[in-house]
Parts: sequence; structure tokens; C-alpha cells
Amino acid sequence: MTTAVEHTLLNVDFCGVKFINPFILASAPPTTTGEMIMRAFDEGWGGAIIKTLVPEGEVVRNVAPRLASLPYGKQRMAVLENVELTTDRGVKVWLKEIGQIKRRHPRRVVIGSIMAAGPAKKDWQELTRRVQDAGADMIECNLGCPHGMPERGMGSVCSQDAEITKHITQWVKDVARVPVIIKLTPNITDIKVTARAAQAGGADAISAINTVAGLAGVDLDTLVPLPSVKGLSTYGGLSGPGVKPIALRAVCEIFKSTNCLISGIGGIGTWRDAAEFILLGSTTVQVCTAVMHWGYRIIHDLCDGLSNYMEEHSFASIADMVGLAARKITMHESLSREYRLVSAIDRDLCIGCGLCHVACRDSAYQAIEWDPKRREPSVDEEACVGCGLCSHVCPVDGCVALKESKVPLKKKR
Amino acid sequence: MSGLTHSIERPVNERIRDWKEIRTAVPHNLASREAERCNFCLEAPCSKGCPSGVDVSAFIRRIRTGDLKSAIRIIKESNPFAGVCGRICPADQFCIGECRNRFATAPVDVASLQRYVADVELLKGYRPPRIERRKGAKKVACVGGGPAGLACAVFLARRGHNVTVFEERERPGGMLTYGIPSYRLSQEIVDAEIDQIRQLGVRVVTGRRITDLRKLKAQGFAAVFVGVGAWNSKWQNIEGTTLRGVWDAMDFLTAAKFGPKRPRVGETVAVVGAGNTAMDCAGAAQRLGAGRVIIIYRRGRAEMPAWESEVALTFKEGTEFMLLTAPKRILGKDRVEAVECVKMRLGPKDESGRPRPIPVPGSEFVLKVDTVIQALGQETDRELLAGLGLKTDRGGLVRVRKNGATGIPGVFAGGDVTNGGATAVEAIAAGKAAAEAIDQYLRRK
Ligand SMILES: Cc1cc2nc3c(=O)[nH]c(=O)nc-3n(C[C@H](O)[C@H](O)[C@H](O)COP(=O)(O)OP(=O)(O)OC[C@H]3O[C@@H](n4cnc5c(N)ncnc54)[C@H](O)[C@@H]3O)c2cc1C
Ligand SMILES: Cc1cc2nc3c(=O)[nH]c(=O)nc-3n(C[C@H](O)[C@H](O)[C@H](O)COP(=O)(O)O)c2cc1C
Ligand code: SF4
Repeated sequence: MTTAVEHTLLNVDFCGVKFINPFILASAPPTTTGEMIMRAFDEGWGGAIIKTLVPEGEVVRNVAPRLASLPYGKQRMAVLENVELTTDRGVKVWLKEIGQIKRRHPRRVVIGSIMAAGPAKKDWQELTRRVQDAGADMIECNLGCPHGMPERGMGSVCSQDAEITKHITQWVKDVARVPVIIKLTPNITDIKVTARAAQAGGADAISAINTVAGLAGVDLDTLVPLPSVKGLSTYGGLSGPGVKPIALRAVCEIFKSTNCLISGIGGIGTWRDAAEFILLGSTTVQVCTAVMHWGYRIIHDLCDGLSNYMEEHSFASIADMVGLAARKITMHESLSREYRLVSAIDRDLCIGCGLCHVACRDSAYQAIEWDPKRREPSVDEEACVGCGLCSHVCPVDGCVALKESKVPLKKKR
Repeated sequence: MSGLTHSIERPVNERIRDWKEIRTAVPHNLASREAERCNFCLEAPCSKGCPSGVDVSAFIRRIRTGDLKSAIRIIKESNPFAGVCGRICPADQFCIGECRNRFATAPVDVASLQRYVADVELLKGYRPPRIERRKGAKKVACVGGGPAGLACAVFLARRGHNVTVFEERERPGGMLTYGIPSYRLSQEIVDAEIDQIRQLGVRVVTGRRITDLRKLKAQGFAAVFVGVGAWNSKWQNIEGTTLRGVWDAMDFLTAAKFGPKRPRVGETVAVVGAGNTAMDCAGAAQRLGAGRVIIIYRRGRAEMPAWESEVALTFKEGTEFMLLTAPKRILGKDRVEAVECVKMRLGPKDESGRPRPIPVPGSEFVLKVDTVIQALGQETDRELLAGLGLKTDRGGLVRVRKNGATGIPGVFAGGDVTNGGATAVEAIAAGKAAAEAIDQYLRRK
């Protein structure tokens, strides 16, 4: 099977580094070892960020299990929770492997992910030097891990504070000869603040998001939250399809409030997800959970789909697409109040379940009438405000849509 | 048949009044939901179950992510007859039969998904990617324009060879065109996929019967693929077979499809035999307006050679099955008026491994019929094959190695002519394997 992993349309320049395609393995289980990264490159991935390195002397001991997940309908792992720490492999091992990967795959991009405590300038600078000397093409500073590491003053506590974010960025930039990416946490009120701090510190790019702080559930038989590590649990980080909307918003906000390039992360599993991240401001995209679910082989459908989409829309390059949709985000106040929509139900498709009626009756404006004999809903256009709830609850694709209307709204209430 | 096929089958009363396909187009929402059920298994067993090697899980994943352009490319890379096979493959024996979901819920309906992709992309105007002919490309001839010959031509053309297909009949497609009725496989799909093969640069010459391979050599063809199929109908020579109203199955199916006049079958039709061809004759007879269609078969239900799916379809359309019954003679003055039958019982196994049917003395009865169709199976044209210089076995099949090599340098064969009549996809696989072997042969030369 031939696929588009090397399609020229997908070539992209990110902070002066050339990628054959914009798809990067995020720093996570898919990049646990050099051998794994080399296999991923054989399959076609454009770049990989090694599992985060911490200073020598930091003891990293993981627990089991370290994952919990929520299925949603047929979708397994709609949300994944993890309490995994950074790499438990030594710095020296990794430095050697970075060199090996680069020798075997000179055209693929290897990015060194590093983490140290907020005030530990020496650690940040030493890791930066060693990783770049080993041959990494870029550095990513992980300021976003929400579990385990914050207890040691590392991870998300760093990018929850603008000052710390800025300092770390400066320290790293002071010694870096390769471009520096700052990876931010979404677990903060306003990500624009830390994004601007990273920019002020001199970041070449920002990656977002790291995992969303969360708790996957509780085992109702044992009363232990998940994942249960021998009867106890801890808060973890969420990833996968469920976090995509949080990530899209973060990317769009960073795009609109800084000049930094962006590597988008969070719930990307198909070329469509990737295209959305790019249209909202990402130049490259990172994938973790989807690879954990399906394996490295999804790179083929990611590249096929994205290049076909670009051809269909006559985009000459990824750069041509970046941020095109972000421009269409505005203040709520600037949205049209004259745009009048009403619900339209396709009689031929309607299966007579009545969900639209129930939804409108109990959570909207009682604008859908119901004929119980014929099991048929009908829209009262004068009462419909066009909120769209009915179209979201309808179980049949394309049955309920919103259409423009000239019928004026008559307030019943 | 599994999954989706039920939801797209037209009601019997409506469908037996016309020749349009029994199954309507696969709607988008059903296709995407079915695609969601694919697990994207490791070393996908469905792909291994496909004789033509379609990368099933890869194309289903493309449906799932909304990239049909890649889906059709992936299918066509392995099988140029995507739309045809999506309709007529006995997929329960192949991809669907291997789907691991069968151990959890129900297998994914791969065939309907393939059909969906092919149909949507055809409507969108799919064209195969252009290929460059290699410099100094050698000429290769494919004798027979059925699925085997055409598939062989495709894979040769993709390797840069200069290929000509010679087809004796007016239209290409072999049994897809002349055998399989349009209510199972619309001729438009066959024609469209053959057009795509032409667009690859394959020359298809129709109305040319090849009887001498040496002449082809003299014309500069460096290698030949023989895919002439098995077109000779087995014929039971009982009394009355020369009466008007007695048909050979292939002639009947061809006339039902292309005329010049559609056969007038009268009120009652007897189809003798119980293979797939017999089922198709019964379905065609239903659509020609017969009031009663009866399949007469000398063995029992379990011995019927037709696929389960075809039998079910025929039964559903109202055809009667007279099992353990054999025709003895056909009665009539000038036209068929009746057939005299005898009841059978099953004895010990014969050389074919099936129980031997034995007439029950004194059980004769007369059945009033207006048409008799003999559908007893096909065999190869031994005379033709001898003329082509090809060795055949006792059953009249051309003997070949796995890659289609006949033993004569530069001459390869495959499809019904080597297996005696199996499936379109196996003919395609044979053509594909031979193309690879021919390519190697030409490189060595
Ligand atoms: C009624 C019927 C129903 C069937 N239903 C199905 C089905 O549902 N699913 C399925 O998978 N398969 C089905 N099959 C089987 C399938 O059609 C065949 O296995 C397949 O077509 C074989 O392909 P082929 O290329 O080997 O031979 P053919 O399709 O027979 O093609 C051979 C071609 O060679 C031509 N030819 C012969 N002699 C010469 C010559 N000397 N010079 C030039 N050309 C020549 C013939 O005219 C013919 O076009 C069915 C077959 C029949 C008869
Ligand atoms: C099990 C697991 C371990 C992770 N470890 C790291 C890590 O060591 N360093 C890091 O920067 N991010 C880590 N992440 C976060 C991912 O890199 C990524 O930001 C996040 O999973 C969101 O992307 P996704 O939805 O594609 O998974 C981890 C994620 C998971 C699921
Ligand atoms: S995925 Fe592999 S390492 Fe993890 S629990 Fe299963 S077998 Fe063990």
C-alpha cells in the first residue's frame, strides 16, 4: 500500500526545522524508547518528542495500573486518564538513543522533552545542553504534567504561574542553540497569560495542551476512585477525544494572543482533527492517545486524509491553512442578532421517536408540537428560537437541521 | 449475507418486476456506522481472507475518517473490480468469514462497505491514476476479456507493459457481462470499471477470437495470458431437448440480458440443476413473467452446489425446489409441453464424494411446463485449448503452476479455464498473480 506520508504538500517548516509531515508523536508512552521512535519513523511519522527527561538523581518510580478510561458508546477510550510520571529511563541512555535515532533517520525530527523544578535554573540549562549536544533538533519544556510531578515543584505548577513560565523559558533560551517549545497546561483560568509569558521569555513555539486534570470515576464495588493502585488513587491527567474542545480553544487563544508558532495537542486521532487544529493556528500537531489506541500505523490515514483535503481545497502548503478559522472567532457581542433560524424536520427521515419534542418541551421553548397518533413532530416556527437543541438530540443523521426563516418570533412567554 | 445487506434489499414484490439491482445504494449513515464496528485488527484477517488481497481494515478506516478518495485508491490497488466484487463476491467465504467480530457480535459487512466506496467514488467521477509506459515496453496479449484477463492486463499495465486484451464476444467482461443477471450486478458498473481499465492504457479489442498462439507471437507479443473461461454448457441428452422452449443456461441468461428478443418463457419454467447458474436462471425467469418457476434437482438440499446466499435469494423470490427429482424426457410436439420426471433416492457416495442419486422405479410423473432450462454446469472448450497448444487434465482444465505458468515459455493461464468455474475474485487473483509472473518472465528475457 502506498500512502502520502512523504507527500510534498505536507512538508512543513516549524521554527526553521523541516518536517516531512506535520505529525509528531507527543512526549508520552508512544515515545518510551529510542527503538519505538525508530519504528514510528519507519512507519512515517514526521517527528517525535521523547518521553520527558528529568535531572539525574530524580527518582521516577511508576505505579500500576496507571491508566483509567471512559468508553462512550462504541468508542473505547473516549477519555483516557493517566497517572504516569516522566521517563523512568536514565538521562545517559536517552542521550545515546537520540544520537542513534538521528543517524538512522536524519530527515525526521527528534525533540528532547525536559522537565525540572521551577527555581532549578542549573537543571534546566544542563538538560538543555546535554539534549541538544546529543543531536536533538528541538527542545520541548514540559511545564504541564498535572500529576505526581507538581508535588515536587515540577510540571503544571510551572505553567500555572506566568513568572515561572517566563523565567524557565529565558534560562533555556539562554543556552539553547536549537528552537525551544514551551508546553503549557490547560489547568489554568486564562492560558493567554502563560502563553504571553512564554513569548516574553523568548519561546520559539508553544505546544498545547498537556493533559487536563481530572478523575476518571469510582469503582462502585470497592469505593476506590480510578485508577485504583492497591486500594488508593490520585488525581490524574485526561487526554483523548474528550479533551479536544478544550485543546482547540487553547490553541486558538494562543494563536490570537501571541506571535509564537503552535504545536497543537489534545484528542487528535484523525486527519479531520488535525485539520481543525491547523485551521485554528497550529503549524504542527502532536498525537498520543490515538496512537496508544491504534498504533503508529494511523500515520498513513492521517497523511492520506490531510493531503487529499488540502488538494480538494487548493491549499498549497500547511502554512497556507494555519489560523484561517481562528480569524472567525470574535466577541460574543459582535455576533449577528438578525440571523433568524428555525428548526426544520425532514419528514422522510423522521422515525417518530419524539426526542426533539421532549427536548424542546423540557429544555427550550415548547416549539415542537407532537401528534401522538401519527407519532409526528412539527415545528411551530413562531415559537422556535433556533437554539438547535432538537438537531443535536435527533438520532437520525441529517433529519433535523436549522434553516433561515422570515417568520418573526412571537414570544409565547 | 450479513449486516447491511438486509437493510438495502428491495421488497420481493417490487424487485421481481424489473431488472434493476435487488440491493439499493448503501446510504451514507449506514455505511459510516458499519465502518465504526471495524476493530482495525492487527494483521487484518479479513485482508488475508480476500483472494485479491484488498487491505480491508485500511479502507474501512478511511471510511471512518471520511476519506473515501483514499478508500477507493486502497481497494483499486488490489482489485480493479471494486464495485463488481462489492456486489457479487460470496464474501462470507472470504473477508467477512474472517472478521474477528464474529466472535463478539456479528462480522463487519465488508462487501457492502466496498460497494459503498466504489459507488460514491464512481458518481464523483473516479479516474485511475495515470501510469507511464516503460520505455521499450514489451507487448503482452491477454486472451479473453473476463475478469481474469482484464485483471492481468491491469497489473501488467501498472508495471509499464504494453497490453492488449483480445475478446471474442461483442462486449468485454466475460461472465460478468453475459452470465450474471443485471439484477445482481448492473451492467453500468461492469462497463464503468472496464472503462477505468481502458483509461490505464489497456487496449481492449472485442470481436476477436484467438485460436492460434503462434500467430500472436509472430505479431510481436512477448508473452500471453490465457483467460478464456469455461463456456461450454454440460448438456443432458435426453429425449426432447431439440424442442423449442428448451434452453441452454448461458444462452438463456445472455438472451435475457441482451436479446435480440428476450425469451418468452410461458407460464411454467423448469430449471434443471442447482448451481449458482441455475439460481440465476430462475431469477431471470421470474423477471420474464413466468407464473411458476421450479428448480429440478436430482440430489437433496445439502448437496446443492449453489451458495447459501443464492439459494436463499431464489427461495425468497418464490421459486419452488423439486429435490430428489430428475427429468427423464421432455414431451411436446414442436414446443415443450411437459417434462417427465422420476423421483430419486440417495445412495452411497460416488467419485465426486457426494451421495449418488438412484432412480426410484415406478415413481415417474409428468409435469406440465412451457420452458426447460438446462443448467448443469460449465466446462472448458477442449478443442480450443488443444488448438492453443495447452495441456488439459481429465476434467478439461488447463494445468498451471501457482503463478499461472503453463509450462510453455511465455504462456500463462488462470481463472475459470484453470479452476473450472469458481468466483470472479479468484479469477482476478489469478490474473494478478500471472501478471507478476509475466513481469518477471519479461525481465529475465
Ligand atoms: C451465471 C453465473 C453467475 C455467477 N455468479 C457469480 C457471483 O455471484 N460471484 C462470483 O464471484 N462469481 C460468479 N460467477 C463466476 C464468475 O463470473 C467467473 O468465475 C468469472 O467470470 C471467471 O472469469 P474468467 O476471466 O476466468 O472467465 P470468463 O468470465 O468466462 O471470461 C472469459 C472470456 O474469454 C472470452 N473468450 C473465450 N474464448 C476466447 C478466444 N478464443 N478468444 C478470445 N476470447 C475468448 C470469453 O468470451 C469471455 O469473455 C458466475 C458465473 C456464472 C456463469
Ligand atoms: C500515559 C501518558 C503519559 C504522558 N506522559 C507525558 C510526558 O511524559 N510528558 C509530556 O509532556 N506529556 C505527557 N503526556 C501528555 C501527552 O503528551 C499529551 O499532551 C496529551 O496526552 C494530550 O494529547 P492526546 O489527546 O493526543 O493524548 C502523557 C499522556 C499520557 C496519556
Ligand atoms: S499493554 Fe502491555 S505492558 Fe500494558 S498491561 Fe497490557 S501487556 Fe502489560
